[in-house]
Amino acid sequence: MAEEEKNQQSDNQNASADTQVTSSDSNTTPPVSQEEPQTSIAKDSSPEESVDGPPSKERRNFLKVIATAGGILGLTPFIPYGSFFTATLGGTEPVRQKIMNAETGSFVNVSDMQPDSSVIFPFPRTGDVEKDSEPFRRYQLIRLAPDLGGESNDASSFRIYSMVCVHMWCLWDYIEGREVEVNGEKFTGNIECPCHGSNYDVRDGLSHKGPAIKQSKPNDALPTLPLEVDENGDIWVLPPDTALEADGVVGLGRYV
Amino acid sequence: MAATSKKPGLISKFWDYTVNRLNRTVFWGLKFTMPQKFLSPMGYSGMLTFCLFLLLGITGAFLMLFYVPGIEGAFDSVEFIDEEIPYGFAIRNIHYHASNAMVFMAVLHLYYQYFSGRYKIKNEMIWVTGMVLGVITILEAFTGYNLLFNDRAELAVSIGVSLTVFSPIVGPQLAQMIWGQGFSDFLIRLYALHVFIIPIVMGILMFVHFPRFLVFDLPMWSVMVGVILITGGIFPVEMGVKFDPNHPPGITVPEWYLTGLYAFIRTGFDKFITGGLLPALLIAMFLFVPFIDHSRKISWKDRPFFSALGIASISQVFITTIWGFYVNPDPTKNLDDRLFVEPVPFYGVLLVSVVLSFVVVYGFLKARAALVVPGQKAVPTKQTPIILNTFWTYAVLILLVIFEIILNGMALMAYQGGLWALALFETGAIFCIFGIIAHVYRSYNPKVIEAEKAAKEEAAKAAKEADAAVPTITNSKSD
Repeated sequence: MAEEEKNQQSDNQNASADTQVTSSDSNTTPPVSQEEPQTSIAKDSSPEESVDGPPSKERRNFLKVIATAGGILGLTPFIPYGSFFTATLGGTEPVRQKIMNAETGSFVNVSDMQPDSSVIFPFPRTGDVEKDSEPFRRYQLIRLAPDLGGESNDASSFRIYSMVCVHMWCLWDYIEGREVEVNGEKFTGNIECPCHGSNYDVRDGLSHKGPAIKQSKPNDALPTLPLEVDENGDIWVLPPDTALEADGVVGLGRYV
Repeated sequence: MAATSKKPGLISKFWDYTVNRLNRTVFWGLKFTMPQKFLSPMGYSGMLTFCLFLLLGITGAFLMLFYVPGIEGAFDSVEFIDEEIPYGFAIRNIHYHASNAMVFMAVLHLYYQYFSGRYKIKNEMIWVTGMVLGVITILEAFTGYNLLFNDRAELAVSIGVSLTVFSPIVGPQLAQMIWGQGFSDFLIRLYALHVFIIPIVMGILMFVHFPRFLVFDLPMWSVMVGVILITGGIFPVEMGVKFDPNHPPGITVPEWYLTGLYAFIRTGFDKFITGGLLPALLIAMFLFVPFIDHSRKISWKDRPFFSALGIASISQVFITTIWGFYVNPDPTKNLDDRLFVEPVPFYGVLLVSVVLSFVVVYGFLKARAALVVPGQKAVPTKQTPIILNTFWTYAVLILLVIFEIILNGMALMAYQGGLWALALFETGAIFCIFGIIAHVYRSYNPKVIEAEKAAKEEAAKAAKEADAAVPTITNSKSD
């Protein structure tokens, strides 16, 4: 109790001079300006005798609650404003699309592509240079090396993987002619990332060396895209199922 | 008094008027000193860091006039600044090297303040804001060197974003809010962060971080700018390889203040631990030290534990930074074999160096403390500054100004001849010379010289008069 009084006294000392003045003739002041004088009446240790309303302290606490509630309510509408920051400059809807070699501008045909080689392409392709340069929409079409059966002219000799390494999102490259050994099997062609050296198995996109191999599933395999080869030998990308269990999510990976 | 020959001139009137009105502003709360003699720059390294911040703000504002953010436009616009815009090469080099200098000065400032125990004596607020500022400075530098969207920047931004995404709990949401999704978002946000958001935050933090006593040393600052320009002339900042979405980047190493982090990540363990937690240990150590070290001792000699800790942390910074630069140069090897940092030797060396440097420094300081007799104070060594007399002051100043004029001409000729680096180098030399001029000018104090002269004459007189066996030097400085 003594502590509270002390607080009140110090409050009164902090109160500006004009409130002191109004408190001295509080009987004559209109009830509009009652809030401030009430605090200084407490100094006279007779708050209960005040004509208007409850004791000053309770009243002030009540006002505090109201004011705080008002402040919170005032700020509440701004919570959904977070979506301002999560908006993006624009995405694109996936569609069935022919693969176009981004460098030459020509459609990729089975007969043009040697085994143990790769082509980089954007998907979905929009025609807008800035949008198609987006690293997160870059994929590599890989034709497997002959020792992995890459010589047959059907979809079985092709793979598509997102170029974003699932370790720290750098862009990997397909290294032609690289001899690798995975689980005792030796074959040609490898996927290697220049940032921290993650290696991926070209057959299924699963990491077999480097930091990505230590990551828990599904964060250890490259996302892919479904593809088909038409009667002319042109290669098409089908709209992917972007679930981790299916074709995977760029940057996050895929269950293999 | 009113009608004396010395009437205040228009300029001094204007100056007084301005100063009296500045009295009402926040600046007058600061005690601002321009030292009249040479002081160790370590004492005001924070002010130098702030001056570098201002220099970066000015040069950065110039660069903003021509920079275009975006996957396609960024690199080309920087190349345009570098090659086509008059003095664009110089501005970009000053901006780049000043950024390196700022990070370096901030680290130096941190260690100096640490070893001299400045985090005590109720300076916790200044200390903590300083640590936050240090981290933000590195973020600012990181966002800056990636605005030039070359191969390295593409990889570095990927790493930055993925580190945010893979942070625990709020990672994905936080990354989405800070970075957006996709490089179009990343680049424009990187730009907004670099030129506005982070500098504003830094400014606010600096407002809290500033102590009331500030030292601005014009000669040292001029020399510093000169050194930045000279460095820019000798090691012009490179463009790197333009990011080409059709050709994945090769191996790149980050700037020197992040190679330590790079070395950690390359050891192959969980990315958040190696890229976030381990480096954060160093920051945490500095952040919490004022709340752990409660001794009343200030000097590093009297705080063996914390001094040893500081030295051990320096050894960590050095080893990780240097190790991060190393990449096996054999291009035929698998990238993992070239980049992998073997954890056992790496963490082994770190551990050994921590223990070794800690034990050695701790043991040394303890042994030293045991040798010191209590109550006995070390005699401060008296430094006699070189004071030039009037003739030599004039001579040196005139010679330096002539030298400046010659260098000015040379710099202009070099620029017109297309030798931008040389022009920058010579401009740096001019700044250094101006620093020396300013130092000579402030050291020249007629009163001091008169006093010295009088003292000498007095001494000579006394020696003559005494002419006795014991030639004593009388200390008769007229003051």
